[in-house]
Amino acid sequence: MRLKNYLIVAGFAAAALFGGSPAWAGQSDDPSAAPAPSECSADAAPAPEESGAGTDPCEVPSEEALAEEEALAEEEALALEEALAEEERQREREEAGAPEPMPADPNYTG
Amino acid sequence: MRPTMSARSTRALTSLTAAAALAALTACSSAPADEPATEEAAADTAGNGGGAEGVEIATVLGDGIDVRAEPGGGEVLHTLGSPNDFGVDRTFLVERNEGEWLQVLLPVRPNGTTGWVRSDEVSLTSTEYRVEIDTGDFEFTVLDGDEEVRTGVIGTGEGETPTPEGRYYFTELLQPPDPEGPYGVYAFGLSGFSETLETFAGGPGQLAVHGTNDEDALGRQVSHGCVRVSNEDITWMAQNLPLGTPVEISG
Repeated sequence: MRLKNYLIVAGFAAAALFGGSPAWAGQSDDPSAAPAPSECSADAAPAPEESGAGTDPCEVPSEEALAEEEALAEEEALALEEALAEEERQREREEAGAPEPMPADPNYTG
Repeated sequence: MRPTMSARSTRALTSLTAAAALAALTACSSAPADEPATEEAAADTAGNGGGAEGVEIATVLGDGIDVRAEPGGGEVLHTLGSPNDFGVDRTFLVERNEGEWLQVLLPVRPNGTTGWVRSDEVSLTSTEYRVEIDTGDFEFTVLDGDEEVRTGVIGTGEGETPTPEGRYYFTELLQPPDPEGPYGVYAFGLSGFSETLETFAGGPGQLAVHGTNDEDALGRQVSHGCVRVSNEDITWMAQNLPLGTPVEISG
């Protein structure tokens, strides 16, 4: 059980550390490099019927789209942070041997 | 083609490395030094006076347990279900450990009743925490071994419904639906009962240590027998004290 918790925490930590750069060395010489402008030439662009959604892959994303992406990334980061914090609280509670509170209406002598 | 010696050596080295990594991982999951290494080891610990060395807490493994008058068998005094009426695993404070049999404090009337249960029907843990409640000084103290780790003001039972003295333990931790209600944010049920009220609010007159919605009333006799503490104190207790923690109430 403890080992499982350690592995979960280690998994989250690894995801947080390496999540942004999952590429293997052999997959790209320079993973951070932007696509070459020449790929966006008229010849390379797929025909509208081939592209499905009809969007131009070389189109520069609008500010709105960028903001949306940023918000989404922030949300994801926040969710990950919360999950890690909850995991940490759970671990501390287990280490302290503290019980999980049972939601119930007490009928003690007050 | 048969593998060369070099290839064999490489494979052996890889296997050894994997074995070492596995051994390291397994070692990381072993219990901390202050916890019993195994249940058997904990069960072999003789005596459970509640001093600085801590106490043992028994949690029922099955859906119920027979409590007997004597170790080794004899009359069944009680059969207690698990989980208890609040849906929490049944726990006991171990007063004496005789290997196969454990003398435990029971959450039944009259207060202070003990009985014997088989050690293979429970799991054992331990704690060095204990709570001392002084109804005369309206004060509680939490000790970790010999060290005082928290103190605070309490409210106690009124004249006709006093808080009975005795040795108890926490039986469950409840989170009331209304945190601004009379029980505050958390309530730890105790193994003891009021000696003047047979029932209360539809319950069996069970005592508790709980928070409050009237912290100005602490330091006085205000309750029907329960011990009231501030919401901050009960939150600390909920985050730190396990079920089974001994609670000594004295006047």
